[in-house]
Amino acid sequence: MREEIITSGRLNPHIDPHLEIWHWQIPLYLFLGGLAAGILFFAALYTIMGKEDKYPGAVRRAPIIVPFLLILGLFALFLDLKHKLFFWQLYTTIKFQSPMSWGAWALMAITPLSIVWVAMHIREFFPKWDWKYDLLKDLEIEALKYKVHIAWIIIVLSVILGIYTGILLSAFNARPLWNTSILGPLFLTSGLSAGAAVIILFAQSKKERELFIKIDLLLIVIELFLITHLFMGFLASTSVQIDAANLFLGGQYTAPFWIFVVILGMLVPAALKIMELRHFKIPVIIPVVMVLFGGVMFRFIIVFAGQMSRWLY
Amino acid sequence: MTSRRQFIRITFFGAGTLAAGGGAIKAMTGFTPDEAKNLKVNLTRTPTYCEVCFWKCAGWVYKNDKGEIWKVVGNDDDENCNGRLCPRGTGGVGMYYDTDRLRTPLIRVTGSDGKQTFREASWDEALGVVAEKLKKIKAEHGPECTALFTHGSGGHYFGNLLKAFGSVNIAAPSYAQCRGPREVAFIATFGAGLDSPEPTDIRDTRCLVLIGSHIGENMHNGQVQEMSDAIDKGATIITVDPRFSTAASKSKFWLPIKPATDMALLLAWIHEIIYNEWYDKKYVEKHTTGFDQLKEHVKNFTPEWAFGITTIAPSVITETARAMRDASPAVIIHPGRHVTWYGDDTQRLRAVAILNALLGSWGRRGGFYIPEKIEVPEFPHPPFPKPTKTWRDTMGGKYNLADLALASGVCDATIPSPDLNCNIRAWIVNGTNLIMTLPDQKKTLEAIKNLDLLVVVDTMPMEITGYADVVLPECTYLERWDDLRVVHGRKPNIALRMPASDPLYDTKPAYWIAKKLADKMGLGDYFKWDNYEEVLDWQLKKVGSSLDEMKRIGVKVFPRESGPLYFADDDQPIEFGTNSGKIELYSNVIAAEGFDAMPVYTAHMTPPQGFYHLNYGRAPMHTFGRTSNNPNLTDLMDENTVWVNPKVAKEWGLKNEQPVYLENQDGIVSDFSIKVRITERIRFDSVYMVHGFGHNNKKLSRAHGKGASDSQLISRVLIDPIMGGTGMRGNFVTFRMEKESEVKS
Amino acid sequence: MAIDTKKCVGCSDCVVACQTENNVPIGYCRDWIVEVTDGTYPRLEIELRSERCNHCDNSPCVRCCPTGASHYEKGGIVTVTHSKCIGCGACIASCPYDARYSHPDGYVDKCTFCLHRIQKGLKPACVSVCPTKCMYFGDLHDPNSEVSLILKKRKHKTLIPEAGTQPQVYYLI
Repeated sequence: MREEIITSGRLNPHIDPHLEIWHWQIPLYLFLGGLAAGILFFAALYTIMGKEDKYPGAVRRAPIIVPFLLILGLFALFLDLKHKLFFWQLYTTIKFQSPMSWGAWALMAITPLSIVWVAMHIREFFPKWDWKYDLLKDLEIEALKYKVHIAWIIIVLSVILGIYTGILLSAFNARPLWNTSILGPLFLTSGLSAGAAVIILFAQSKKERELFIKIDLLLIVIELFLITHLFMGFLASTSVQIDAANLFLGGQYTAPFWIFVVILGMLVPAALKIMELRHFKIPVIIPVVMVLFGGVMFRFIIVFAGQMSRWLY
Repeated sequence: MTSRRQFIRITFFGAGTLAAGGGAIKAMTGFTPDEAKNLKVNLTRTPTYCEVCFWKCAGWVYKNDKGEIWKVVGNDDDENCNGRLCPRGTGGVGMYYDTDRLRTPLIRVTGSDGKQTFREASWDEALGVVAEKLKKIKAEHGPECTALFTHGSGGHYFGNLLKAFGSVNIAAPSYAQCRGPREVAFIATFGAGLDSPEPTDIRDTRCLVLIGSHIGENMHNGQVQEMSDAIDKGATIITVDPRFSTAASKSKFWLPIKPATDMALLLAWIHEIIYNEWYDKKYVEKHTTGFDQLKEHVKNFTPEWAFGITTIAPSVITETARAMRDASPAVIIHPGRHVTWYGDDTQRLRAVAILNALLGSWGRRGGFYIPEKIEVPEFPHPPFPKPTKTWRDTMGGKYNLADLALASGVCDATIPSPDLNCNIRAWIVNGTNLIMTLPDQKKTLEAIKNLDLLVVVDTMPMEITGYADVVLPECTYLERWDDLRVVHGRKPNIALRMPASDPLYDTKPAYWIAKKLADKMGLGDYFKWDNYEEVLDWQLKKVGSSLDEMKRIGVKVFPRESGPLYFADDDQPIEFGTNSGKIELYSNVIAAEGFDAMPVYTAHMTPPQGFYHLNYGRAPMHTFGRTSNNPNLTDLMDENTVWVNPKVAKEWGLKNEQPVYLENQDGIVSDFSIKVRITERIRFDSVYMVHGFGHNNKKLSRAHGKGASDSQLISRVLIDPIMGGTGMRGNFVTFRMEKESEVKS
Repeated sequence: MAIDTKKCVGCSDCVVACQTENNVPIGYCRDWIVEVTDGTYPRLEIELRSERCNHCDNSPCVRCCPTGASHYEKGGIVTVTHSKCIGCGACIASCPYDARYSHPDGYVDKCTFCLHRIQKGLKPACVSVCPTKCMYFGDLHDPNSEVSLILKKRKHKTLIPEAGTQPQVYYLI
């Protein structure tokens, strides 16, 4: 028998009995950030492809919620900080080896840009909007001139936003559950899927709606493939990774993961979407809410389960 | 936030800015190097010696720039610690900052509803109550019916008080409950006891034999340090223990002996050493008597015989004896310290002494050195009156060989009985929590019921305070002056204790309490000084030092005057303190009392079915129950666990960390549950737990209800007939998953 | 740093000394003792280790810190500049040894190898107090330092080297 114990009573708050340094604020931000990234990605994509008028819901309408999502997400992040008064230190330097630093700067760039994008399309919701000040009126004209350029910047930033959180977690080799390069693409795909689902709600035409239902369906299939790949990778890896995978294969997070994330968050909405495409009458909101719910649960479970996975003791 | 927290927060920057250099200062704290230089950081230190355990390591108390006590560090010149304190000493600051400390004097009162509580009182009033009651007892029964129980530096003052009053019933539980048997055994054999710290020359030994002694878990600082040195030098360590102790893990030989059979092993070793002619012939011939009787006596104690009793293979017994021979005379059969086990302990320690004598280790390098102590004169006082009777008179002619008072004996003498014409009526208890110290709690509580006065002088609200009539709060060692520490060692030395802070709350030093009490009782002449610095300076000048010097250096070492550290290797005869002047392998003095002149093996009770030997011991981060509330030390260990062998756990269906209650052979169930630790380190017929937990006094906020008290489960006491030691290892426990009754405290 | 597991008795003096020296709040610790028991009674072995931040050469905590608060001091000691720390907790999550903790005042804290003592020529508090003198500290780049010499003499190991962090605390076995 092998007995390995800490005899001097280590009980550091948030570290023992297992790591719990991040609570609800982080998964909430991850979700909001991923969703925002998804929406902005499609908005920028279809602008670049010149299909702005064909898919106005995606390009002009859905992005209105993005600034709110981002600000809410940033606030959640701020709440999570334990040394709040010093948060501005994040913006005194950029550390290329720290995905959190990229994220801080990316958010710093994309939040104002998303506000600009919304401002550019404010007349979708408020047709009689008047900027009042000449400066703002001129800026609007300039922005519309360079819309495609802005869209290119947004598309790059939205990909970074969507994928960096996964890369951030995967850089923590101390938490075997996160230490897989699949996590980045998985987060990005999940974010895009959530974005596509929300865009469905803002879709202006049946064609737009059907397009995004198909896009979301495709993204869900990719997600399922990546999840399979994730588990195959864990189970073929080192013992700490196998232990991490076992959290979902008989361990504490088995039921929540497979039921909430996979079944309710991916398989059932996928089935509903197929039925929608086959012209069955499904209330639009149901699959959307399920996808979003699945996205939220996915991030919560990954963040909490990841903190339980460990190398020692 | 507690004030401790605020203290920490304020001082962190202080410490950092002092020492950081260059750009690091600005980066870390926002101060420029120039600003940092101007920050006043007071790193003055005051000398002290630790009071957490009896080792009394000398050290320095450092304060931060706010003048608050920061840390305690060892004094490099002190041979007890060599500049390194043990975890309890380092955690001594916790004793000072513990918010559960006693703060004001308390007097027991009975309310109108008949309920008894403590009421806060002034010192004048509380001392007045004590003085009155003592005077009353003197008038009605005589001053001899009072007693003092003590452990620590306060004993000297209260002892003088009691002696001035007319009683010599001064008992330290560390005698009959701990080291008593070995003192008697070694005095009978070598003519000298071991005292504290034991003069074991571990740092130069080539073979260290530990019998039930768990150096490394018992934190006898100097000995742990020297054992580490010995390991560096490649010494062979032989550990005899039913449990795989830390020392066992560093041993070349670990003998997993069946509990209670150590005597057989010792006798077999003596047999091997003698019959293989592995003893130090020159030494034995020159210094010992009784060899031939011993040789005849151990004729049949062969390793094969011992194997049947101890389960240690005969080849191992022989091999370990040979290892001892190879190292001789640099070999130590360590006498241990807490040796009150089975009631035949004096005889077992006699076997240890005999084995040491045969191997020639007493007075030799790597064995036992010859310690020396400096004589520091006592501050003058009138001669003490001679009492008409002493504690010895209550012993009924038994235990004549005991050289110090038996705490358990004094406790017994408090219970009225037809044999006693007067029982003890008043106890002063200082620095010892008798409830957890004396075995057989029921008897202790009965004795207390018969007292007219129980005065407890303590720093913490330990269980004993709950029974007191008057509680007097003592300040910790960091807040007071005290006697010079005068212990024996390789070189005579003294250490100074100086307060690092004024007493917190309304606490007072023991010397002040004793003096004020003496004044109230008309015994002021025995404490004719105004402050204790006066006494210290007077004493120091007599030994060629001064208070100023000692404040600067903390420890002063003097050259030896009694001769070299070891016996000379010449033909000069050496006089031992025994009646024959030689080392007595055959003890005449013990025989004269009617006991075996040489040890024999006695079988002891084995556990009934479903019960296990109750073994208890120490953890290096705690000292008995004294530290179980210390915030720094409870951070390391806040409860004990009961060690259970995996086979036993499987039988009982126990899981790791499962709480269980322990019930002993007399049906006593532990007040609190204790968590199970399933470990291979303990034998299948025993369980093990660390002593000092299971406190039931609610005022000990960190210790209350944590773990279980082994003292509570020690109800079967095996009295050593030779000196009255209370053997505590004859108890057995079983597991109970639930408890019926509610705990009352 | 090199720690001799054969001499360590697991007394936890290093834990208490660090706590008082560095004013670590009660309830937190920068170092701890691990006891590993192998075998079956009576064939047993124990390894005792005093563990702390390993001041890794390839430390994930320095790498992931977004503000540079976690950085290397001269000599490779990993420290945290409290006024730059935002308390995001990334470094805490990134340490495979769980050596860091969130200080109640908000910043992240851990063993600093008693930088304030080293700069005065003293040894870290844990090394200075250890009663068995089983801890060695010094410059690993100096081949004649006490710690380099002992590593040359004795077999040693580090903790989970496969985590790739290149820890600089060596255990003599």
